[in-house]
Amino acid sequence: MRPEKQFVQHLRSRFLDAVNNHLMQIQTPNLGEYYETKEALIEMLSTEAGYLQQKRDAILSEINAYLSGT
Amino acid sequence: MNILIVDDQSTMRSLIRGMLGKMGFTSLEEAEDGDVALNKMKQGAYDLVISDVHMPRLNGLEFLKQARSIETLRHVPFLMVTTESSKSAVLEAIKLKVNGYIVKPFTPETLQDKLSRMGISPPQGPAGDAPEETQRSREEPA
Repeated sequence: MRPEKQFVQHLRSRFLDAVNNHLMQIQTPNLGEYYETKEALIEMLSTEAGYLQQKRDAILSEINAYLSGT
Repeated sequence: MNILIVDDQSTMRSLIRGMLGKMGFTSLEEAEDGDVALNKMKQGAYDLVISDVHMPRLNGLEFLKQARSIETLRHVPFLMVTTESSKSAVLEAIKLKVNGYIVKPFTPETLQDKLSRMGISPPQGPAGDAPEETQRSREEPA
């Protein structure tokens, strides 16, 4: 597989991983099912938002590194 | 039945822990990457490892590879959590004799079905009611 195609596949996998993790959290039929209090649920959603930001930053940094040849 | 849940995302670990808890599994531990998980496995006995693929430091495949290379750990059942696009990761995991894999996003029912296929069943009745020996005797070989 050509390196650029391999990189796109890798990015696709990283992106899907982040999105699927998030989907699993928010698609739970009853969002509170696994959380004992509303505060715990809000805390989870806040942490989740943080993870999405982190993963976005990591993916962008990989793209920039690839484009700059580093 | 001691289960180790390995994922760099704490919310995913909590979700899987919640699913397993609802099925009746009570002895659940967590690790944030393969490196931490491998150290935990060296120190304690686990009956099942549920691990993500994408993790910093030591990813799921490297973690599986290293665990399979250690005599005392090589027979611990592994369920790999992956994404639809990670076909190469799944093939690699199969080469490393992974016991099963599950594609995200998955439901509690899918997880339970996967565990059943691996011969791993939760204890009967409400969570925590069944004694440890009863849980073990109900398991069938994978």
